[in-house]
Amino acid sequence: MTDDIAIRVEGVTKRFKKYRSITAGRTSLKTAAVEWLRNRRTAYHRLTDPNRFDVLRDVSFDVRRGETVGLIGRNGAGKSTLLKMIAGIYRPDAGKITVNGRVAALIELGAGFHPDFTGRENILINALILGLSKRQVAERFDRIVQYAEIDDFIDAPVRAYSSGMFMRLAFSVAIHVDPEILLIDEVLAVGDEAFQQKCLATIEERVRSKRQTTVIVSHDLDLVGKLCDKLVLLQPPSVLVSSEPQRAIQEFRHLLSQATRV
Amino acid sequence: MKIVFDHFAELYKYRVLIESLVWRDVKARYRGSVFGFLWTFLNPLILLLVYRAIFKYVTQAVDMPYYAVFLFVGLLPWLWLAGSATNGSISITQNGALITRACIPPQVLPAVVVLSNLVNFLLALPVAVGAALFYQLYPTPWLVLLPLVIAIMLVFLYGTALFLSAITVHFRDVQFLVQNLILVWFFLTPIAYDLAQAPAAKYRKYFLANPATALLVPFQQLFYHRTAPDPAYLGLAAAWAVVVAFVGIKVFEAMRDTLVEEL
Repeated sequence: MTDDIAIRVEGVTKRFKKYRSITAGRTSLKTAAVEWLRNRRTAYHRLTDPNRFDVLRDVSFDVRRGETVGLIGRNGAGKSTLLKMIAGIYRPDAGKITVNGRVAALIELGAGFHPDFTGRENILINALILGLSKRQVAERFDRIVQYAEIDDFIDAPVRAYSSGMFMRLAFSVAIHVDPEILLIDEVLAVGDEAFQQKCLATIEERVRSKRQTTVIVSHDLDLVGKLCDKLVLLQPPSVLVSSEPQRAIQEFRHLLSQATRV
Repeated sequence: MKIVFDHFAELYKYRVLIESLVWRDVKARYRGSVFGFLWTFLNPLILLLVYRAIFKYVTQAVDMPYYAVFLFVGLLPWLWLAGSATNGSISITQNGALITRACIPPQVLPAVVVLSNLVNFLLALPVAVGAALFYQLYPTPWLVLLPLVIAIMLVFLYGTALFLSAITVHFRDVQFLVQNLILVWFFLTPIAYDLAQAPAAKYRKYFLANPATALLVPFQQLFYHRTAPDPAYLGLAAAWAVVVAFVGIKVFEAMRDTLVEEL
């Protein structure tokens, strides 16, 4: 992989289970054991399992270092799944994803927050989960609190926070991780309007600086059109268009209008 | 073997997070209560008094000197075992957010459960030592082997928690199974009674088929009988620990890719 490629997605396929009913996907302990023994012999593969369907099939694209790429598509097109695979949370069933640099994912904020613990205690754990070292957390602690604008509440348990405060703190920790590669799933901005402006301004500044590689999943087409250098339009289960923003947006709007006409 | 090595290498990489989560677990247990940390001592003490009263005055089945001490030194490691098994089995299903929202190796979760239960065990241990001293059962130099006994138990419990946590993701019934089996398991393990006094000697070999016997008896030997831990028990316990840990890691790693998707 050449040095200026930050993320390379090559022929990635991901299959998920079909849930026809709540128990259809589940098996009893006995069947599971029997199937496991049988599958060992018949070389079971998820790629050929009829109880699974393709969420993504043979998806490929590159993200260059410093570039900002948006993933767009309708609900269920596999945008979040793709992002989670880049983050290393899911593994592809086929194909390969190569990531060159330290990744942090803003997928759902506040992973690992514990309601009974104070903001201070939660910042540490949450930041460790997002990949910072203890020393880095200590260095950035004041900035995180200041950015979140919750100074008086930092030593109160987070269950006493308003939901806005909770999200502000969670966002602040995430944005201060300052990774080489930032993955954002819809959480571009939280809190009231003023705070949302601040979030967007921070992200925009990061994107413009070209120091950080960013992948954004969003339904806000105006925003991704403005922020991104390239958009990847997913039409289940593959990539329909991968191009400069305006063309992809046009294509997507066309797609949406066709779908709603029916 | 590589799979085992990689498994532990990942744990080591996340040691700071594990440490923080373990302390949070220990603190969370009594957070908000008036007695706070004191509950770490009060809980086993109350349990001890209840068991003692029942076995001494109600059933009168046991005739042992310093029965309280005997009961206590078996009960504490048992609580570590029971806590690791029951909470270990739900460690991934209950804390799924850590592995579905962030890229944390899932074995961190059962590891945290086993370690925080170990911390609680170590915090309650002074109560056992205090009770022994109270009855003038002074410790012997064999106590230097305590870390070894604890280490064997730790390996065994980690394997158990791994196995149960992964299985529970796919079969949520396992958590309820574990909760009930633990109760039976307690009475099948010589904790409230001495194995030497078990009804008939011919049943003793069946007790030895129970890994908890091999794991717990050395604690009783160290603190109550004040002898060297029987090498046969230690060997048996170590063998159990290695096998269970190996199977646990194998099963966990085999199921690993599906864990995140099933949550």
